[in-house]
Amino acid sequence: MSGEEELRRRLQELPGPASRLDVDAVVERARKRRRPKVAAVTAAATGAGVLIVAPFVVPGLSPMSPSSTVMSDQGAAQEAAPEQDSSGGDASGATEADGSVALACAYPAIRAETGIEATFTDDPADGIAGVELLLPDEAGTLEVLGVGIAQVAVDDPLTIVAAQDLSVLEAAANAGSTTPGSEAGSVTLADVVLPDGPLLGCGIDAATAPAPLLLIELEGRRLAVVGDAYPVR
Amino acid sequence: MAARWELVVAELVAERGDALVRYATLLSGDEEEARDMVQDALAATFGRLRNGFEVEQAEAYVRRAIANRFLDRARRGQRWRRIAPLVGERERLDSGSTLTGERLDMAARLQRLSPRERACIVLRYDEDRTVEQIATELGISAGAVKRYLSDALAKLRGILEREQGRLQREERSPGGTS
Repeated sequence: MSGEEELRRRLQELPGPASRLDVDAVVERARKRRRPKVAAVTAAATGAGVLIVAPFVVPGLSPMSPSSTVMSDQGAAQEAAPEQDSSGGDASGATEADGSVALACAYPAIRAETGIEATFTDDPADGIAGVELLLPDEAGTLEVLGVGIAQVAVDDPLTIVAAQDLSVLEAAANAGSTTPGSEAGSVTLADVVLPDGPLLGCGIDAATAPAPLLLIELEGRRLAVVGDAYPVR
Repeated sequence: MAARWELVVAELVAERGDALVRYATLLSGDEEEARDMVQDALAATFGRLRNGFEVEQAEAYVRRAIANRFLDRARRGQRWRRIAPLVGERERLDSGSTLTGERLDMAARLQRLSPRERACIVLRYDEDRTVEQIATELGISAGAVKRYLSDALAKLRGILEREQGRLQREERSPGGTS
């Protein structure tokens, strides 16, 4: 290549596509993704196809837990006007930095809060990953509203080293299409496009592994929770 | 009545659809695969974007989604490419392509670069992005972008020199082959 201008010229000489995109197909697929994603939580004995069955047995949350506090401050307003927000997918946190960090470092573990296990099915480093949810025998209805990333300590997966702010998660609303797993109580969210928002550091120096950060609605209660660590080689 | 976001999709596809497919084609080397990649990226992006977005903003998200998908597919295909004979890549590029002559050569040269090198070259020299913009779009550091660009340019120069040397040898040879 004789020069950068020559390379630019040669690249720009390459012609455009032979046929056009199907806009109707794109709109239809996007519509499907925009519908609320409801994962039916059914134990083997309850039978398939029933969305609302017996409620989960969920350990009660402390009224002062971070997720509860966050929801009372922000969740209600966003719920009231979910389509009014024009900030979009990469909206950074609008909350004060210190408060955001404190909240991001204190998301409860989904396993401890609900008995549900959640892990990435592949490395989320490229911005797209599946999330597998393993649900307990108790049946109920779980809605996954958004998926982001947290980094947890390899040696202590309950310790959050860095995590995305809740506003990033709320803005993303990105949960992909749900695909029932082969086993009862297993649900996989396939190819979720993860939000780009920065991770807020928690001031902990430790080797980390990515874990899904989930915004869920369970029995009418919105929670931001952290799943289990993805094994990083 | 169509939702606002649907109008943005229609406008984006009408005005920038060809440019998006061309961008994806330069990355993937295959127009059909590129079209799938763009449709996926559009559906995923507009499946999560809220109302209030204009075409330009939406296009930036779609381009980032295309780059993510391309790099993701490249990563998943890496294992296969390690064992596939090199000629396999050339055959895939040639089949069904409408490119001829120098344009075909240029597309083939791009395919000799690593996925990240290719993405950096396309963004820098076809899309006229700055190093910082490329870094943001690919989620890597500016230093890494500079390194990929430098390595890719060196590879392209080497490929061109080898091609010119081969051409000169063929011209000197009476039978047209060496």
